Amino acid sequence: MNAIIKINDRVGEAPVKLVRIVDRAARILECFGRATPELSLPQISSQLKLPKPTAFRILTNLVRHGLLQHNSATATYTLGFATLRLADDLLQSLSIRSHARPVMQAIRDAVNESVVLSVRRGDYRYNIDTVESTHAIGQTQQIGTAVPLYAGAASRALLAAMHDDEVRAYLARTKLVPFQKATMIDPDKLREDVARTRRRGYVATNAEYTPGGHAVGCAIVGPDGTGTAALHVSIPNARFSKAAEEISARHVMEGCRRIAASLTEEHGA
Amino acid sequence: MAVPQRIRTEREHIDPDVRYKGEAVARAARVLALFTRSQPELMLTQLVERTGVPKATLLGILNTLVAHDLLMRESATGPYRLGFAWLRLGDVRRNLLDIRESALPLMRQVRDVVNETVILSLKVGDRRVHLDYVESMQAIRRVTQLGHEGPLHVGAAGLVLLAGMPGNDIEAYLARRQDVAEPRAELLQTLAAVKRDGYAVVAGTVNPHTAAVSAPVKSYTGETVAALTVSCPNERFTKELRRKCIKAATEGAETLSRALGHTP
Repeated sequence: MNAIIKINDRVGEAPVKLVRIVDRAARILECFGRATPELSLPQISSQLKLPKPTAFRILTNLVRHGLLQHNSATATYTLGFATLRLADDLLQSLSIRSHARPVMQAIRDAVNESVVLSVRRGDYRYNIDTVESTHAIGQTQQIGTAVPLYAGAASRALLAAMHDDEVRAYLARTKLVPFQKATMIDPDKLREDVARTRRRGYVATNAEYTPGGHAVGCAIVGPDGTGTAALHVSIPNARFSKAAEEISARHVMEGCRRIAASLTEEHGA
Repeated sequence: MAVPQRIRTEREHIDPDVRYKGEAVARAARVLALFTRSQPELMLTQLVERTGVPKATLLGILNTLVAHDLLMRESATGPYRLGFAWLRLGDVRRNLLDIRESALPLMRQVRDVVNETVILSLKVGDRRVHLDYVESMQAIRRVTQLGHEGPLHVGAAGLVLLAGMPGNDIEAYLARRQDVAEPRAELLQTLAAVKRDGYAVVAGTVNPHTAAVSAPVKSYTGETVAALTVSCPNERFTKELRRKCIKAATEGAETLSRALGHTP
């Protein structure tokens, strides 16, 4: 069997050599999702069109290294604890978290709502840290969830922090699907929103991605006006008011400026 | 939920010179295991050195991991780091962690060892909340209720949850509370002892008739996510039973922590 495959990612670049068996192992990991956390050997082999012995051999290897877990009672596989360890080590290695933490805590103390830090990677935003409100009722923010850049306050703050040509290209290639009734899926409205966000400095949303709450988001932008990280405050409906939104917006914008300053300082002026 | 997919813009084609190596997946897994909290970045030369895999072979594996965002590299000569795909995979795995379900059989075992009531509690906001319990079979026993709430600085379970918080979060909690009767220095000393010993014992102070021993349940991050408590009537809490309860609570909490991916 031939083992090396080549892909060209971008025209004009040298082809990248991939190892087929590792590629297949990675594809197996990618089969697991929120909706499909548990899969059997037949499901995996038919989904990836892999012969069962090949799939089995890779699965066994992934189990041995803790990347998958085999449940013998149900004859299914789930992701293993090593994925949690790797996800956590990745999070811990993102230096922006230590710059943002004290600022996030100060915002939480000022408004007592949950504050979330997220980063843009490709066409998605990932929540990477959160400081929770001390209220017993509040939305718990899942860390690691991928959210598209058109849905939710932090997402659209990040969209507005992209270059104009990037925004144009993003809207041209992205299929805008609603997650909630309020999800903004009209490209014209999104372009207007980008302009408004750049003018006033923050985005306020109501239940565009997850139901039940409001959010106020702002991007952490560098000296060139672009940025790949954002903060948002999540306010449950029960505690929401226009005044609460404005106070949160003020704190979030100030917090983002402070984090940007601390990052610029570290990278040497 | 939408999940970012890598877009393949070009055909894949096969290099006829290189044959499949059985251990490639194992090598990839070994490469991934080299990235840790204390060493988040590794250069190609370091990876060659640590894995003992020839550079050309290793490059193929690294390229494949980068193509799937399992590793990332900012520049063609820079260090490798873990990729964002782990965030999504870790999120999927975390959704399977049902602490209550993993805890119940274990709580029954702990109860059978000491025949006292076993309680599992979580921290919700600034409160300690009982999530589940298994009662002692003895006629006189500690009883409690699901969802029962209390402050963090009172009771064995609360103290364990509070002691598991970062130092400045403890300070902030104490600053928010108006109802801490105990002198602050004493409470901080108690919390330090709980942290050092790995358990908290409270006998007859919260309620004159009850005693409790609680130990921290930790997750894969090392963070305290719950408290496992063994509780009994104070009248029965002899030195001998105290010793048994400490053993049962700490061993039970350790087993549960392992089920949640904690590695001591």
